Formats: sequence, C-alpha cells, structure tokens
Amino acid sequence: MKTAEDQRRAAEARVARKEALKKQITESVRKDLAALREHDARLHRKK
Amino acid sequence: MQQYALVATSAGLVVGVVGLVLVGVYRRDLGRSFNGFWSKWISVPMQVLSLLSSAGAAFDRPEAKADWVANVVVGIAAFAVWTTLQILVDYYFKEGERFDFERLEDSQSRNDAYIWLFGSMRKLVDFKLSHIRGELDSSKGKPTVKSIRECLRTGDELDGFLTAVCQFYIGLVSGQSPKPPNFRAVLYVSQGGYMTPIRGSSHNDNLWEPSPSFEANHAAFALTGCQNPALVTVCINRQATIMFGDTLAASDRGEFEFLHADQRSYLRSIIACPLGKVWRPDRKLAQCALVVDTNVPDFFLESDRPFLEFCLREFASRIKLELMLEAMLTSGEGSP
Repeated sequence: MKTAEDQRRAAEARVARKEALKKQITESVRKDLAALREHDARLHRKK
Repeated sequence: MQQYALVATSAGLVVGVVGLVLVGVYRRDLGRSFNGFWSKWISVPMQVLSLLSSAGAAFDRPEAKADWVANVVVGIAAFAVWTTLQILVDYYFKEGERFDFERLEDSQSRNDAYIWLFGSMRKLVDFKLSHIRGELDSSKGKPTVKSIRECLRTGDELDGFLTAVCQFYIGLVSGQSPKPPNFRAVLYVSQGGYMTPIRGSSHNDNLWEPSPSFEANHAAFALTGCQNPALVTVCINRQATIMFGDTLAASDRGEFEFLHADQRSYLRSIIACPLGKVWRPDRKLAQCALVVDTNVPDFFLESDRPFLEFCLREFASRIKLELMLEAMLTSGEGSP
C-alpha cells in the first residue's frame, strides 16, 4: 500500500524525469542544428 | 524605303505582341527556361530600331505627312510593346527570385523539423537504454527474469514519448506569440465502448492528467456516437487523421464543437490520429489513437497534412511497441 508520502515522491520523480527529458531533447537538437548549419555554411563557402 | 521600314517595324510589333502573350502564359517558368540577360539583348535593340524607324521615316520626307504617319504610329506602338515586354520580363524574374527565397526558407524550417523529430526519437531510445543499463548494472551483468521484465516494462517510457511529442511540437513553433505556447498529447485506447485516455502529457504543466476532462465529458467519448463527439472518437470511426488548424474559425463554421466553453481559450488547433489496434493488458484488442492539441492557432494545418501524418506515424510505431510490451508483461503476470 502506497502512502501519501510515497505518492508525492513518485509524482516529484516523474516531474523531474519529464523536465530532464525535455531539457535533453532541446539541448541535443539545438546542438545538432548548430552543427549542421555550420557544416552547410562551410560547404557554401567552399562553393 | 518607307514601306520596307513600315513592314519591318510592323513585323517587330507583331513579334513583340506575341512575346507579351508568351510572357503572360509562361510567367512562372521564366527564370528556368529563359535567360533574363538575352531578353535585354533582344528588347533594347528592338526599342531603338522602332524609334529609329519612325523618326527616320518622318525626317526622310517631312513634307509627305500622309506617307510617314503610319511608320511613326507603328514605330511608337512597337517601342511601347517592347518596353512593356522588358518591364514584364524584369518583374517576373524578380518574382521568381522571391518565390525561390520563400521556398528556401520553407525547406530550411522543414529540415529543422526533421532534426527535431530525429533528435526526439534518439533521446527516447537513450531513455530506454539508460533504463536497461540501470537494470543490468544492478544485476552486475547477470540479468534475472525479474530484471528482464523490469527492463521491458513500460511506464516512464510512455510518459517520455508523450513528453517528447509535446517537446517536438514546441520546437517547431516559430516567432513570438502573446501566450507561451503549450502542447498536450493524450493517448487513448478503446475500453467498454469509450475512447479512454490512458496517458497524457502537457508541456507547460507536468502534473496535468487527461482523466478529469474525460470524466466530465464522458458521453462525448462514446464510440457509438453522440451529438457532440470528441475528435478522438470521430477519428476512430472514420479511421482517418482529423485536424483543425483554427478551432475557433471551424467552430464558427459549425465544423468543430468544443466540449465545454473554457476550451475556446486554450484549444486553438488540434490533430487526432488513429494508431490502429493494440493489445490491452486484459488480452483484448483495442483501438488506439493519439490526440495533440495546442494554444497556438493555425498550427495543425491541412496544407501540412503529409508532414504531420509522417511525424505522428514515427511516434505511433514506438508508442504501439511500448503498449504491446506492457500488454504482454501484464497479461503474463504471475508466469516466470
């Protein structure tokens, strides 16, 4: 039987995991976008 | 001499008029099939020749006005036609350049959208991998049946998928909006004749749950239909992705109905996609659907349908895999 405290902790952990995932996705995609744009710019300069 | 000049200028006039008609018909293809440089090389000499022809005829025999007036009229007309032709060619070339620029911007933003999609998917796989890694680490590389079951068990993953769906769409929102953009993704499974929400995620509210809205508007989720059905039941009954770019406008047209008045303030665009059939933990096949809504108007547009469906299919296959794993593990509960 889960106590109210257990449920509160589980909810907090769930929120923390969601926030971490959102942050990870954003950071990773922004990094990819920057790297790909830089690559495109380099190719453009070569042409 | 005047007559030869008249014939030549008239021929120039006719060619110019034909040119005008061709420019009108092929204006969209000008940049691709015809070089703007050559148009100047043709039209400028034609303008000069038209003027020379009319002026030359007048100066040749100024006293015989009846003889040269036709040359002057045709010459001026030819000059006007070739000048107009040149202006139109320049205009449509510039139009073509503007069009290409817009396409370039469009393709850049589409490219970014695919990177958001791949990036979100990769992070979800990483999420699952870290779960498996944790289980393997704790069993020191010798997994027991219990730890394998724990690895396969879904829970956080489904939450993660819906969080990633919202984060993916947030990444696609461009420009400034008066309100912070929000997306909510809800996964529905048919149960007892109703499309029942089993998981939901709201980007701006980590504690949001879809069940209160479902309970308050229970009748709208019945698959047998009602007066004001929820979009999820419509998409299942029609077995088609249904979207409304602007729910307020669609509501004014009578094509979309809000379940309650409050929705008008936060539900501005919505998409509902049937995901096919999945196994439920009670060993029954059920219809499954994903619904995403947002407070950003004009987001889920019909004109973007192929792209929106493509993205939802990517998420759908992974969501279905998790649902099947959950069904398999729960129905096999108690077995080793």
